Amino acid sequence: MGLTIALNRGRILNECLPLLVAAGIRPAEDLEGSRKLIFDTVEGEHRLVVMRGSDVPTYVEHGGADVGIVGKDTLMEYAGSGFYERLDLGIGRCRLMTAAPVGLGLGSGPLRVATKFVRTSRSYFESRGRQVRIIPLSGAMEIAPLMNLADCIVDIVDSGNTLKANGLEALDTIAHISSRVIVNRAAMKTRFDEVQHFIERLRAQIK
Amino acid sequence: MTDQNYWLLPEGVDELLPPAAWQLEGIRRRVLDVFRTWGFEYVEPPIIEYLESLQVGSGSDLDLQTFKVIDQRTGRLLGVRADMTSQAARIDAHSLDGNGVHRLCYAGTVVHANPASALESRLPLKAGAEIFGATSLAADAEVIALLVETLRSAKITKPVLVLGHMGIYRNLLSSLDIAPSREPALFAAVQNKAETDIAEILGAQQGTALLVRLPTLMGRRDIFPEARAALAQAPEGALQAVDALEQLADAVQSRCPEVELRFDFSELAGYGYHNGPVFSAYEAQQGSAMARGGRYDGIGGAFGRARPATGFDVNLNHLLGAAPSTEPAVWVPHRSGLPELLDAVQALRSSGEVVICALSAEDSPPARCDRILEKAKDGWTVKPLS
Repeated sequence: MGLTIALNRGRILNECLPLLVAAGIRPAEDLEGSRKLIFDTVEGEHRLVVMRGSDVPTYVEHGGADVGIVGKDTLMEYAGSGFYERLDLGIGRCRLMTAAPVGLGLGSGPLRVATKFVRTSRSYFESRGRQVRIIPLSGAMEIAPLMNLADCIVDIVDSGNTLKANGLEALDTIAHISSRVIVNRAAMKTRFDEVQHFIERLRAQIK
Repeated sequence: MTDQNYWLLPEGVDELLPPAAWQLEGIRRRVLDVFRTWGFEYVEPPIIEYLESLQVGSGSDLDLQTFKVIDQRTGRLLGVRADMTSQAARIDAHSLDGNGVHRLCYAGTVVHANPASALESRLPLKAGAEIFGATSLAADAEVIALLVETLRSAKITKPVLVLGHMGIYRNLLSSLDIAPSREPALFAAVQNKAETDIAEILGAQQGTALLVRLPTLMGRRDIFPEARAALAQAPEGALQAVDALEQLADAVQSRCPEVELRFDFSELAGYGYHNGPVFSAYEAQQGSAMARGGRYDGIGGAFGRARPATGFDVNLNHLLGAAPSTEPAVWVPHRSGLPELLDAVQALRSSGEVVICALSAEDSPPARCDRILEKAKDGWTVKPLS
């Protein structure tokens, strides 16, 4: 029996697919051109399951998937920890940062923070001794300061172009983000050889 | 909540219905019978206690898991037990006499303020066994063998048993340059085997490479030479822990040859009070551990006596089979006051059969009845129910 591998749809999938293929885990059909969500692999009887990033840790924690590939930002935001974080793939690199309208900075006193990284932002500002009110949003955080909904945002920054286009500038780095391989705790113990083989084959592909 | 929601239970709070409820009770009885035949004394610690007593020797994890209520008689804070091990330690240290070995066991519901995961109940039924007053590895091997027997009584015959030793991490930690405020973060990173995070927390120092390596030191028996080589420069105590772990493995394997042993040199057990060998039991079909335990010498100190201690608890809910089934029963149609019929029913019940008697002539047998008690020439006999 092969492993069930949960993959984060979108950019991380595109970047990790070549790694998986090089490690010998080739989907039996084109992931992009299909409406299916579960795919067989050419060898090894593995199954690839494509889902939203925030669902990957949930499936892996509960054992629905044995392993998963997901961004560190998602893991930091996830409340549970029923999995091992075995490998840093070094892909999907970006930074989780604070950003505010150009020239305004974070000032002092209480802050309104718009973000989809609610947990991470709360503990970050708490560790800095800053009282904040978190405004949870699910996307396009850049608009919030422009519409006077927030003083600053916490978001993933890659090139910084989206920020610039909306009159924002990146300020402090909260964390460096990259994609990680996570493994269900029970699978790591009961199917050690298979999981270890998978990890080592992927590790060999990392530059 | 509208007044139409009286039926609603709090999130993560389950009630057991037929047939699972009998099945779980059956498992509880069988498990306690195993404990009894191994000479463990049964104790029933209270569900609520003063909060401080429940939290002795444990970390912040257990604090977060503990429900708190005010005692209206004293104004003091009470905790609802989230774990029964520290209660057993209190009983051993304070309520039992003698410095000899005490074997205690218990079974009961604990309450978790935060469920371990979204699929877990906040009210798991736990059973556990603890040995106090024995320092030797033989005591650890005894509780592990008892755990294996306990799982077997619930028809789990091929568990995977993972062994580790807290002494390895603790000794490595003592040789590291790390601020005490960063220790919880390092502990979490090692527990999650997050190599990148470990490297980030420790930065460039002598022990970093070894700590990054530690989470990868896991596998079968053949991992020991590799682990010893990796730990060659480690403090003496870490290597002694490795030796103890290997001796324990020998003892367990010779007593329970059918069990698959795995080793994880960075296994750090649950609630922060363990300080020697630790172990957990897994089954291939389940996403989390069924049972965990280990050595926690000295936590009884706060209750008056620091005593060596080792033991485990098992989540009985995890031992319930996937498809619970109802016991078949014998149906007795309605007839009034026939002494020989009552005798026949009594005899069947004494032999352990489930016998359901009709309450009126119109009653029809429930689906679980597969046999019927009928009058034959030579008395009442059980026949298949068509």
